[in-house]
Amino acid sequence: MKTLSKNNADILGEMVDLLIPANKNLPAPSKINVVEHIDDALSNTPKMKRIFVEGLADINNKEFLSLPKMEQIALLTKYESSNGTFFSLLLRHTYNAYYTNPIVVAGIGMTGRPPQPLGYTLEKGNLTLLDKVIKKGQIWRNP
Amino acid sequence: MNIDNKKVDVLVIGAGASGAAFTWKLAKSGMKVMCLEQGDWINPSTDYSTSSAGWEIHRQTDFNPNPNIRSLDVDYPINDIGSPIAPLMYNAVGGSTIHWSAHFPRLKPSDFRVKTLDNVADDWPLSYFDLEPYFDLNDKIMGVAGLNGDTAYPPKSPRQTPPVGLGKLGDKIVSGFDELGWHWWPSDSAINTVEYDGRPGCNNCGPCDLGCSIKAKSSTDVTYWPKALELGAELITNARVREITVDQSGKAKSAIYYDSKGEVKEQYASIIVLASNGVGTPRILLNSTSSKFPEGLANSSGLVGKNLMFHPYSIVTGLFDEDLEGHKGPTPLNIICSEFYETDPSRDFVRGYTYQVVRSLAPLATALSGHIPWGENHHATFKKRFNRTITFAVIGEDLPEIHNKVTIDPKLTDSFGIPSPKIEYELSENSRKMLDHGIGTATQVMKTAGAIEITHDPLKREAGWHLMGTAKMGANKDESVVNKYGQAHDVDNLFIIDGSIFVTAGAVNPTSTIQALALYIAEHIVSKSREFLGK
Ligand SMILES: Cc1cc2nc3c(=O)[nH]c(=O)nc-3n(C[C@H](O)[C@H](O)[C@H](O)COP(=O)(O)OP(=O)(O)OC[C@H]3O[C@@H](n4cnc5c(N)ncnc54)[C@H](O)[C@@H]3O)c2cc1C
Ligand code: SF4
Repeated sequence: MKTLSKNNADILGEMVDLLIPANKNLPAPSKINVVEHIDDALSNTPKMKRIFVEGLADINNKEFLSLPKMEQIALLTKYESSNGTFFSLLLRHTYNAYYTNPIVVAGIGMTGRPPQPLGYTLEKGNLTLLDKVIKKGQIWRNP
Repeated sequence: MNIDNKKVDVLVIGAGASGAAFTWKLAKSGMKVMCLEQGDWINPSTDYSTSSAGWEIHRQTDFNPNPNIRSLDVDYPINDIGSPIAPLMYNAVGGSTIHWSAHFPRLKPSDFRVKTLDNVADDWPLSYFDLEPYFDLNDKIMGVAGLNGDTAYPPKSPRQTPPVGLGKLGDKIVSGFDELGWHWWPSDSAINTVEYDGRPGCNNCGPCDLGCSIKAKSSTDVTYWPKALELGAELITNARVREITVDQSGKAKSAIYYDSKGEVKEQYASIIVLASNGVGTPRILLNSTSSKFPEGLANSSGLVGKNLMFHPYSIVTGLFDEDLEGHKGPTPLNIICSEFYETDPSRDFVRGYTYQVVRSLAPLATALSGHIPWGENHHATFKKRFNRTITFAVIGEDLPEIHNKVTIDPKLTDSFGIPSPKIEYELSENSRKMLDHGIGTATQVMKTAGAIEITHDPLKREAGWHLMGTAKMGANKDESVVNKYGQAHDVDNLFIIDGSIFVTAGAVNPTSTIQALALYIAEHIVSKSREFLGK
């Protein structure tokens, strides 16, 4: 970790796995380096780092790691409204890391690769329905 | 100050959509033309993110279209607190076409005659048909995908490449228009759908807003600029213009600019041409004060910076219960609906609107859309939305109003200390009624096409893509800044060629018309070059 202490990284790992729980097709964020990704982002942005360190310290005081899962979720729900800045940054960066991960992108039914260089095949579509538009004739106003 | 004494015939400021077209046309006629651009070249094959896993994140950072969020050194900050719409742009060779969606509709004939037809604003001092040859020429150089025969336009010259594909998603939404019997058309896009002019066809990768790494999208760095440079035009990058100076007779004399090292330079020219967009151009003019022009250059009418028009946008999104493969194809789908474009006296607003279709959001954008909860239901909700949404961007015609304006902020500056612009804009009652009508009809199309849930944003904030009206054209010196050839009424060797000179906005994307105007003005300058240059 570049920025986060081991304890903070553990808390963050637990939090991101609650934000996006694993299912049979999709991995838990902590298993695909989401925490490392956030840590990396924090190392480039001092303001965000401060918000995270303060937010995580507060959560640590609530002994987050030893709480039962339902209470952890309740605490996150509370944070969503009481500490909106921290929570929305946390959510955005969790999604940023998760939904740009090739395993996840493949898991949601895409090819798991970026758009370029291969692109996609697109059907031309049905242009015969234009006949009706053409039949109606000119709609531009001749000044 | 470092003076570059090589006086040029014509000095253009800004290498975006208009500056590129104009410079090419002048270079082609053999004039000595130089362009100063504050940004740099982008290398499409290495500088765009769409070949990397983290491509979507660049929308939040270095490739955000809002210069205040992007905040690169080359960007000037804009005070937009007083506007519900944020101005968007890009500063590089190619200008905002680096970012653009490449929708390429023209303004329509009625747009040039709104006073006569609807008794609002002013007529333009020229007509659609005056511009027609320049629209055609511009289409040829930019390369336009489309289908001839749109009933919402007079006939056009053959389109360069076939229309962008509709895909499954396009077919779905077209079914709604068809059942209602409303106009729709696969509209013009400045995208090669097959190889054209040495550039390849689009491979339907999706995110055109992040730049096209294969050069299928016609940004002017890959269309006009290579041709202009080959013809001998000179392009100086990293040249940020602070002001235009005048001589004792009040003629434009030079541009003073900062180079990449922050060194001040001065470039003389016989003719100076502003192409810095609807915010950048009034900024330069208002910063160019002198004893002859204490209120800013070419501003005796007091209209420099006034009458700012954006095209206010409402967004209507429909959710469908099937996979529409919405990630395939250019995100800005070319379908346009012009059913509500022209004034209808039975409605409670004048003028009209169009809507354009946007394909589904990419994975990260879907997750961040505000519709996906965190926690237990996250994946199930994501699955129900991803690739299953269709969006309409409802584009309204905002009329020119004097209180919507660009001024100079008393405190804010860019990194070289050049004073920055401040934007004030209020949505008019006419625009509000128009957009509400648009939300209503767009909702009807969505429902008819089978949407199971429809949501809308009544006024999108991050939507100031189109910057128009801030140095209006007109015949009367007291009521406009430039004449029909873009020539400043107050300074006869100063021209403006970007969206600033629009008299009204129409209700379609402006760039095809901006560029046609730039070519029309260039032709005029070429035809009068002896007079202007004294040679
Ligand atoms: C995200 C996005 C999507 C868009 N999509 C569409 C679309 O689909 N269809 C459409 O028609 N339009 C679209 N637009 C708008 C379109 O890009 C603009 O209308 C067009 O680029 C305007 O051309 P211009 O020449 O007036 O200005 P620009 O293309 O903005 O170019 C101005 C240039 O001037 C330079 N400049 C400014 N100030 C200075 C200075 N002081 N010194 C030196 N150089 C300076 C800038 O760096 C810039 O390169 C979009 C815009 C954005 C941002
Ligand atoms: S969709 Fe086509 S035009 Fe757009 S960026 Fe991809 S390849 Fe280029």
